[in-house]
Amino acid sequence: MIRRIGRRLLLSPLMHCLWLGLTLLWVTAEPEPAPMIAISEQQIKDLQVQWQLQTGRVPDSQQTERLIAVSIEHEILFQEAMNRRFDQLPVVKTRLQQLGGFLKLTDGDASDREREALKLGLDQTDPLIRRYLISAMQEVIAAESPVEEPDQIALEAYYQNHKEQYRQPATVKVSHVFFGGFGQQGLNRANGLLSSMPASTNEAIQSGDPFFHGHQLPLLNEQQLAKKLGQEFARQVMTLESGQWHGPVASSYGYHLVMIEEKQQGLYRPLAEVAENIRSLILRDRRLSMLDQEIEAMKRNYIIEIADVSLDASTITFPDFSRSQTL
Amino acid sequence: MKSGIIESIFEPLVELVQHKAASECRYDRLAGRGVQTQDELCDFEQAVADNLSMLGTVYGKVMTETAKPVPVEEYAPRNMVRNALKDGLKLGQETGVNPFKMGFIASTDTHSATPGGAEEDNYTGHLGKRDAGYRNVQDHFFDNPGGHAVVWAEENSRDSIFNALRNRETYATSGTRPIVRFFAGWDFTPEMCGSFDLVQQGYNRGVPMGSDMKPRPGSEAPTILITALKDPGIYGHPGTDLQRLQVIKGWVDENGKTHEKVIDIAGDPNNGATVNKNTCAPEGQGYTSLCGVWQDPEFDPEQPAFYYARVVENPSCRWSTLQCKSYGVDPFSPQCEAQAAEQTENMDGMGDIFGRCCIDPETEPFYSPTIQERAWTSPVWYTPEGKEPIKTASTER
Repeated sequence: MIRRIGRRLLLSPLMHCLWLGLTLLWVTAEPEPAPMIAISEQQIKDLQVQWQLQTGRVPDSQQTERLIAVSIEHEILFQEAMNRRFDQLPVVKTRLQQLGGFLKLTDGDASDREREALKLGLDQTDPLIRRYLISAMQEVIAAESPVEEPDQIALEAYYQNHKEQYRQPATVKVSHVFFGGFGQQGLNRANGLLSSMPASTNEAIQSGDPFFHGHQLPLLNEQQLAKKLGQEFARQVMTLESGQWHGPVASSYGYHLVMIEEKQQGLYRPLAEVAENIRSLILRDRRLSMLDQEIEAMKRNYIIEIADVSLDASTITFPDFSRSQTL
Repeated sequence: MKSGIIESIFEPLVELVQHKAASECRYDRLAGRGVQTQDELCDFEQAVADNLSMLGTVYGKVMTETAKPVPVEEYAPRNMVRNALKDGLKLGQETGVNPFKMGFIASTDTHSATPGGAEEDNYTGHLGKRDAGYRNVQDHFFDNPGGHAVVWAEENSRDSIFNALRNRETYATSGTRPIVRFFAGWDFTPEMCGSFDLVQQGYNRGVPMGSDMKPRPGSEAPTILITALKDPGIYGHPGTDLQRLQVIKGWVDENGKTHEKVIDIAGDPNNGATVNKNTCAPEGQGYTSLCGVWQDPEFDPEQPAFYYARVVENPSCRWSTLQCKSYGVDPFSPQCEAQAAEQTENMDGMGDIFGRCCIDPETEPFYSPTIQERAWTSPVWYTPEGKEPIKTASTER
């Protein structure tokens, strides 16, 4: 009996209608059209003008291509964010309420202001909301596709490739006897002392003039030494051998006899010291390339039309805002 | 809380110089007098008005009435820090609290992302790209590159530096980098200038810049020690020689009247140093370092007082002189005005561009194509016995 009822149901006109309807729907239904992003000639010009205002330089065609690419990327991120309803984010709501207030759209409360701002379509046009959505989308992509932590081999490879960045300059530890002024008398005194240096450094120092900024300096590199005694003095001192008195060497203040107590060659900071820094740099690079890949994947779902115009900006007249009255 | 205590806890320092103008003191060369001073070195980097309207100069024209010069008589005295310090002594005498115990720092306050860029020979202007090129001499002629805040800290750590700032162990410079030490005590002798542990002695026997003097042990007068090394210079730009060291004293008498005095204690104000009018290279005698110990001959123990050091360099070319010359307009030349007209024409800009390069300093109360850069140490204060000097936040830690 159940089989007979089932068979009758299957052969009933109602079911025939349903099947026919579904078949027709399946055959004739169009897929949702791919979203389109169009960059018009005017938009390209606007990008070039904005760049020129910000940097003071005219963008060449390569730079313009990059500007267009970034503009498309941002538009994709924005649309993806809208699809995911990121316009419901609290920060966007707050901004809409703010805009309602600035534009005095209503006397009502916060949600009235938000509603009036939405009516004006400000969620689509406000540059700040656009930025919020774009950066929220970037964060979500980063969260959804985490990148691999660099292993020891990756850290070592980065370190070797960027070794010069971790170079520290040579340092010297200097004691000096000071003879103030640039007269012959000071020079004679210096040479006289050099020919019969006392055994102790302290005694030597006391045989000259006092230099209140310090006679026995700590380990300093050439630049630090130059800030104390002048550039010529620092340059010369870096070339001296340790363990013996040299001079007279001229500084910005007079003549000096110089003893290098200690020298340290320029060294490369060891990997252990900079591993943390390298790790974050590698992670940052990996995140950026992952982001690029994700956006490339998203791009395939869009139809992108760029106006077919020359990207050469050299013939454009740029507005001259250099004489604005801003302070 | 008594007002005044709050100021001195929260305002231990004042910005003595910044790129818009200098605020130590004000002396009008043409009028032959200053705002509560006769100190002729106080014509340094002054704006003619007492407000910021000069910033609104556009195409060489001052755009507003409020930028008009303010005569000496109408100029509010406390716009100048030295007068505020003197008034602080007076208020301290009246109320028991000195609200103007301020040490000195200096800054640029330019908006060009060039921290420390206070040299005269690479001044990029007030506001980045907008002031690049000739805009400085056209619209910001009376500005200057700014100064430095210099701190004597025990070590190069955040806590140590901020502690030193709170203690006022600081000095201000007008843009150069001389190295200055200042101590105040009761028994200093000139021999200290020849001793190898001068700094140690200064700290042991006295107090450094920015402090209150130790209590008077007997019947001595204050002794001040100042020593300075000239700016060592850098990258092919040698520092300028020093000209002299000065002590500046301010005090208030029993009638509540304030006074000031400027004393040269080392160097030579009449060394005739100058600049080469063609190359701007310094010419004449100067000092690579100076040291002086001075005892106050007019000290009256009943009178609250402050003392601070001013270290003055030999003359050097102002930034505007260097920039005008680089455009072919020479402020020292009798042909200056013709050159200015020609170069303005060449620039094809709007308004008079180089006219100010040729201002005759003889007709100006403050401007001059050469300047004497300087440094000022934070003051030390003397308070008569029985009157407690006001505590600062640092001593409460």
